[in-house]
Amino acid sequence: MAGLMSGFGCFTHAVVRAVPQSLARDALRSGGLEVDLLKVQEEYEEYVSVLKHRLGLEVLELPADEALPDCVFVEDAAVVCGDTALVSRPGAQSRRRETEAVKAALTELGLNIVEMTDESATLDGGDVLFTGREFFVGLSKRTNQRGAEILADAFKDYAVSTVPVQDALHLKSFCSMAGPGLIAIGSSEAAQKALKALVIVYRLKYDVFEKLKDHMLIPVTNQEKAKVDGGLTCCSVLINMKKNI
Amino acid sequence: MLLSSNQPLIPQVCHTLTLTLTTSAHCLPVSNRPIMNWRFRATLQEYFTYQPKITLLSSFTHHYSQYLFFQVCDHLNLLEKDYFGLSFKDNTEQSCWLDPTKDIKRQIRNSQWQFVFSVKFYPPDPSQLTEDITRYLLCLQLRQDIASGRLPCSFVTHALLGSYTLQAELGDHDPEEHRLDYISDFQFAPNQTKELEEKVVELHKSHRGMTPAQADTQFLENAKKLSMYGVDLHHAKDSEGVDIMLGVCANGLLIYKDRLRINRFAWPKILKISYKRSNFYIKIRPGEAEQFESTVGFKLPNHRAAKRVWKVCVEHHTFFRLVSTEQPTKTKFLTLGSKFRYSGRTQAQTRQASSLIDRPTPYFQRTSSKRISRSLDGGIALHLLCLCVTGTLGLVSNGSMSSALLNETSLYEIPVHRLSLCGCSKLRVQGENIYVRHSNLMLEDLDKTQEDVLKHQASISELKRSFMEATPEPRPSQWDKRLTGSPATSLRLQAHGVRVLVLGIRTPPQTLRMPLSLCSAEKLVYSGCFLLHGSFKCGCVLSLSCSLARYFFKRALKCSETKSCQAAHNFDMASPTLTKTVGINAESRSCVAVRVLRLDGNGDGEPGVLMTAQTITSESLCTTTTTHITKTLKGGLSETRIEKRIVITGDSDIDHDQALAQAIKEAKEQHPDMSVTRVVVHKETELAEDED
Repeated sequence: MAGLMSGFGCFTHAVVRAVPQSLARDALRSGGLEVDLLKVQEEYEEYVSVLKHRLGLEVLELPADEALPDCVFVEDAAVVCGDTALVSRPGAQSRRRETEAVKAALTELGLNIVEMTDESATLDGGDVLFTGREFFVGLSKRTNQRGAEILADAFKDYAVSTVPVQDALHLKSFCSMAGPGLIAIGSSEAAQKALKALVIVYRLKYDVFEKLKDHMLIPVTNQEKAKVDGGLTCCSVLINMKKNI
Repeated sequence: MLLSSNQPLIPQVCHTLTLTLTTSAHCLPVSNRPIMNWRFRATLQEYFTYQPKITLLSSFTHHYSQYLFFQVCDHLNLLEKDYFGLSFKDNTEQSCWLDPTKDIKRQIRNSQWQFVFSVKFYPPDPSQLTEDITRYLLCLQLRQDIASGRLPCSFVTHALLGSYTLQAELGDHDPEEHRLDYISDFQFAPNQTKELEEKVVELHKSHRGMTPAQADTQFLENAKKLSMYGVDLHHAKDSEGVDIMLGVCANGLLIYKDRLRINRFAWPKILKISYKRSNFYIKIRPGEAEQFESTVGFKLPNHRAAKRVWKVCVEHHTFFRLVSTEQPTKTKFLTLGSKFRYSGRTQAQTRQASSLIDRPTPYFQRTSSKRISRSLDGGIALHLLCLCVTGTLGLVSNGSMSSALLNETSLYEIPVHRLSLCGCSKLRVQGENIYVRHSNLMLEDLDKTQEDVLKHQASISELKRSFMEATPEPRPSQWDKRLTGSPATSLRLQAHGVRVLVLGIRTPPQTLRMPLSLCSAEKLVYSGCFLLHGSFKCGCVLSLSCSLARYFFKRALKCSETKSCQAAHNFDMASPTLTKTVGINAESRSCVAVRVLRLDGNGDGEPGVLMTAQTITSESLCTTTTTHITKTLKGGLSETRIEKRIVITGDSDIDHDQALAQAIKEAKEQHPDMSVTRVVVHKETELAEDED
C-alpha cells in the first residue's frame, strides 16, 4: 500500500466458493420462485471463467458446504481493503459459519485478519461499499450500527458513513462502484431512496450515471442467482495482493 | 510585519466622533426583569494631520496579537503564515485561537499566557504550498496529531508515515548507525508496538535516496487522504440529545456518531450558520426534490462552545471557499451578537501571495522527534520557540516594589540615546500601583553569550534601582495643575539616557515576556505604557513602534471609566520630540497613564501640554450624561478630545438602535462639526461575557 486509493479497482486475486446443492431449496430468499440448480452452476462457472481468463485474476475456489446453502455468496463473509480483511458476522444466523472457510483462505493469502467477535454486531459484506476514498455501510436487516462501527475501527484511514437500506437486501443489491469515482445505481425505488440519502445528504463528489460509457462491459448472466437475491458481486471477494510499497 | 495602521490617511483637519456604547444588564432582587443600563460614550476629537497620517481612532488594538504572531513567524522564517495560528487554553481548558484583531488581554483573561503555534487550516493539497519549510511545519503538526491520537490511522499508515519521518529526520537508513532502538525516541502512534517499529524500519530502508523535502512531501501526500485530516472536532448533542461530534474541515461540516460519519454538509450546501445561547444551527439548501430549506440544530455544552464552533465554521468557510474576505458593513451601528469575521487572508489570496515568494529555500534545522513529543498542547513545539508568554505579578502598593516580580525578569536595555526616568515621586497614590516589568526574552538575541546576558542584567538592575530612587523633577507636571483635587501621578520618560523601562502592572501573577525588536538609534520610536490600576488586568510592553503606543493608549482610554479620567494625547510623528500622554484617575477603579515616546537625533522632548480639562455631568429622568473635554497643545498640534458617556437606564425592551441613534443625534447637535467614526457595543452582564 503505497498510498491510499492508489490503484483503486485493481485486483489480483479473487476468492469464490462453489455452489452447494442445497441452494436450490434452502437458500434464503425474498421471493418464492423456483431455482434451477443446473443453471446456477452454469452461471457460476461462467463467472469464474471471466474472472480467471478475461480479467486475469488468480482465483481461489473454495469447496461448497452443503450445510451452508448460501455459501456461494462469499462477499458477505468478509470485507477486504488493502492488506486487511475484516471477517464479518453475517446478519442471518444460518450463515454465520460461512466465515470459517473464507477466513482460512484469506489468512493463507497473508492478509491481516480482523474478526468481528462482538455478539451485538452484524455485518454482511454486501452492505459495504468502498469507493476508494471512504466506506458506505448500508444499515439493513443484515447489518447494524455496531457492525459498522467495528468496520470503522478496522479501517481507520477511511471515513465510514452509514446509509439506511430499505426494501432491499443489501446496499450493493442496487448499487456498486463502476470505476474510480463512479457509482452505478439502479432505478428501483429502493435504489432511488438510497441514492437520495447518498447524494443529497452526503453531497457526494461522485458521478452517478445510469448508463455506462467508456467501460468494457462483460455481460454475465445472473438470473438464477437473482432468484435467491444474489448479485454479481456477491459471488466473489476481490483482493489486490500487489505490494507497491 | 504589520505594525502600521491600515486606516486610510486623512489629508485635512478632521473632526471625529467616537461613540462607544456599553450595555450592562443587572437583575434586581425586587423585580424579576433584568434592567438594561446603556452607557454611551462618545469621544470627539479634532486633530490636525501631519505626516504620516494615521487615524488615531483606528482600531489598532489588535496589533499586539498580530504582532506576536508575526514575530513568531519571522523567527521561524515562515512566509506562508496564513495556515497557522497561535492557540491557548482558556480557563475551561478549551483550546482557543488567538484572534489577531483583538488584544491579547481580552482573550486570555485569567489564564496563564501560554501560546502554542499550530496549524489552523490544513491545506487539502500540501504539494501546492510554495515552500518546504511550510510543509515541514505542517509535518510537525501532523506528527503531533498522529502521536496524540487526534488523527487516527491504520497500522500500515502509521508505519508508512513513520518511515517518512525517519527518512526526513535521519536520512538514509544506515544499518550500522541505526539499530533497532534508534527509533524509540520517536513516537509514530499513540500505542507504539514493537511490531510497528519493525515495520517502520523496514519501510525506512526502502526510501533510500529520498531527500528530507521529498520525504515530507510523501508524508503529506499520504496524510492528507486520511479521513480525519484537517477535521476540527467538537463535542455536541443532536436535536434528540444523542452524543455526536461536529467536525469542521475544508470541505464542510461533518457529523460523527460513535466513530461513524452519519452526516456531511458541504459548504455549498450550507446557507447559513448561526448560534444562539448554547445551540448551533445550520440552514441547509433544499435538495432537488425539496422545496424548502431545512435547519439542523445542535446542542453544545455551553454558550462559549457554541460560539467557538460558529467561529471555526466562519473561518474555515471564509478561508477555503471565498476568494477574499468581505469587509464588515459599516452601515449598521448596532449589531447584537458577534460581528466576528475571519480577518485574515483566504486560501486563494495566500496562494496568490505565495506564488510571488521568490527567495532561496530557507535553511532550517529539523528538530528531533523527541522534542516534538514534548510539545505543548498538541502544537508544533520548536525548541527555540516555546512561546511562553506568561505574566508576572507586579503589585506594588504605596510605591514600593514588590519582590514578587523581581525574581524572573530583568530590565531590558535598549541602546537608544538619551532616555531616563524622572518624576516618580507621587507613587503613593491610593489604588495606584507601579512596578517595573521587563522582558528578557529577545527572540532575535538568542545567541547572546552568557556573560553578555549577565552584564546586561547587571546594568538593568542598576537602572531599576536608580529608577526607584529617582527624585522628582523640579518642573511640576502639567497634569497636576489640571487635575484638581485628585492626587495625580505623572511619569515621564525623558530622552536623555540610554535605558528604557517597561512598566506595567497586572494581576494575577503573570510575567510578560515579549519579543522586542531593536531599531537603530536615529530612528527610534518607542513607547512605554504605564497602566496603573489596582484591579484591572493589563500589561505593559515595551515596543518600538508608534502603533503599539497608540494601541495601549487606546486601551487605556477604554478602561478609564470614572468621571475624573482625563485623557489627552498627541501622537506627533513629525516632531522630533517626546510626546506624552497621561491619563490619570485617582479613583481606584481605573487609572491609566500612557506615554508615547519618540526619539530621533535631536534633543529632549517636551511633553505635551494639557491646556484644559473639564468634566460636565447632566442628568435627566433616565439618562446620565458625563462629558469630559480635554485639550492638549503640543508643538504645532492641537487636540481636543470630548468623551461623552451616556447611561440610559430602562428595561430590556428598549429599542437599542433607536436609543443609540438618539444619543448620536444629540451629540451631533451639540457638536455640529463632529462626525461619528466608531461605534463599539459592549454588553456587560454579571457573568462578564465576552464583548464582541
